[in-house]
Amino acid sequence: MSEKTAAAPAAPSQFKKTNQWFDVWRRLKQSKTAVIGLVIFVLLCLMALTAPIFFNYEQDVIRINVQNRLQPPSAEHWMGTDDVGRDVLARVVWGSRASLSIAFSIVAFSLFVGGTIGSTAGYFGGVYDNVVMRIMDIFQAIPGILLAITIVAALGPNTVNLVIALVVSSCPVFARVVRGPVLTIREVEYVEAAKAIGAKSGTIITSHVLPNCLAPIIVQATLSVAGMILSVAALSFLGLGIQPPAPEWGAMLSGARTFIRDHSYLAFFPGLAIMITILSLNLLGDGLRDALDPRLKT
Amino acid sequence: MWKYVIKRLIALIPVVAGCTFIVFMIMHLSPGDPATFALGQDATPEAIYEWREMHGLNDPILIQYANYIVGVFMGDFGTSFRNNVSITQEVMQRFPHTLQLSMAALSVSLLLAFPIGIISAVKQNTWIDGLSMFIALIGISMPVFWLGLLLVLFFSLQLGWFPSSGANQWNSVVLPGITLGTGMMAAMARTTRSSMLEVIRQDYIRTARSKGLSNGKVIRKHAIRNALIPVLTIFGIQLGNLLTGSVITETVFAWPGIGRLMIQGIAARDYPMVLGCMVMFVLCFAVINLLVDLAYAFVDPRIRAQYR
Repeated sequence: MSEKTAAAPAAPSQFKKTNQWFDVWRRLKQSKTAVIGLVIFVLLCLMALTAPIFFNYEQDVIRINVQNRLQPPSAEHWMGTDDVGRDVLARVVWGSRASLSIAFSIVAFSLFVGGTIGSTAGYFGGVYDNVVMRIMDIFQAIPGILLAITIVAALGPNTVNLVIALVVSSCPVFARVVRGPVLTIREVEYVEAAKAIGAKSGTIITSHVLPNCLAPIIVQATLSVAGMILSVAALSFLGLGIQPPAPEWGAMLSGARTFIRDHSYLAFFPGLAIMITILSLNLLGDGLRDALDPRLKT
Repeated sequence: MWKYVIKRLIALIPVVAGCTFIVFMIMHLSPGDPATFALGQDATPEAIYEWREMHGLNDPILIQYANYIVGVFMGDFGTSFRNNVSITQEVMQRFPHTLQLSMAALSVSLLLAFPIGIISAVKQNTWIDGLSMFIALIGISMPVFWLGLLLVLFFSLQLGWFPSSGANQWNSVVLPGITLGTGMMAAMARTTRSSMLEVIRQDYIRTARSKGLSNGKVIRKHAIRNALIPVLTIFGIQLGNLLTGSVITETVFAWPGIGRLMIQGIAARDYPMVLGCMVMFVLCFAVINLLVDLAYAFVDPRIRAQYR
């Protein structure tokens, strides 16, 4: 995201912008916890990207092998095998692909839809703003994951419906986060100047207003990725998300419940994977918040 | 003050109606005919027509919604598709369990969050602070369902101290309560700490110290009350999360509350039941937000003055 924004602003402010992102990086590096979060998260992304090198999807991840069922962790199967003999490590590693890619796409879609709603509402104001934001209020009056559960329940449980459900339920948050700073920025002189030279509203919003209210948006997006990974896992745990045999951490935990008495390792590793991912994103999100806007520092 | 409360209560009506409209429409998006699902593939057209008539499904959708929302405000949530029981009755029967679970979670989080947050702020940068904040960080990163499974594994299967599911014994609520309360506890401990740290550096705290008050008295009388406002904001957000978390916690522990009722309703494609549970959750959520707003006035005299 940072390269895109560094390139986006108009030419005169180019030099200062680069400086700003350099500053952010410098401040982020100073926070030990943020660096730990960043390193863990990068490693997780690498794990997700390189999963096919280590484990074959057809052979290791979804193929049923009953002779091998319910084996405790060993040198051959580091995290043991599940109730149909699949290697848990392979499934945990492949599970990161599902969780991360779905969480990223949900945040990207919600950012796009919610951001469009929020920035236009904030920029144009008036009746449009009022109507749109009241609708967002009503959506926000329904607890997010419950709305998602309802949508998936109505449309039927599969990955596409899961993404739709979570995008719909998280859009209002992004609309709100984007609208706030847009309200302030639209009043400043350079926006007025852009209007005066006849720039179109769309151009003003995308190249003058939005780049200047990125800080809260980036923080919200980082923390939202964590929230979405958790929501995807929770919905899959309830049987409303990614469907077996596809590997997903929440669904794996749900499957492990039956065997928890004698095969507790089945319930341990997928949960650990979720926790480490969320932890790294929370650390990174906190660090980014402090680095992007020292005034918000808590 | 009362005028404000009444104004807010009236403002709840369109919110609840709007939320119900959204959920109602989503439920009607679902493919397939509920009548065929309830009566089976070989039901006669007459039987299907009669069943649809009985559940009011032959009316236009907006009329159906109008009938439904009027019913909701009269306290009638309709009848279940599955066994024709009154949903109001079913929901009201389950609601005390969800309330009990939430209260248990609330006690866990409040009893731990404040001491942890305040002590880590007062002892900033010591090992106690480090340890507490590490625990809090783990707490906010832990998925509810995983924590639930681990607690069951350790305290009920290994040690046998608490039952692993159901709500029949006096100590049944302990594990679900801890499961649901931990996330809230962690988030509130973090906010309490940062808010206390901010307050401790203020001039009035220095004044209080310089006039010779003991450290404990400064913290109790001057710092905590001022640190409460941001904590209250997080408290409101977390209460909402508590409702959401209860759906998952109830599923893990087979706890007979509204959350589990809703998940069972989804599995049985009993849409009026799901809708009824959702309306109940939305109502709770709205009332909680109202109470939190009122609590601001209680804590902060400056806000109280605005309502007069």
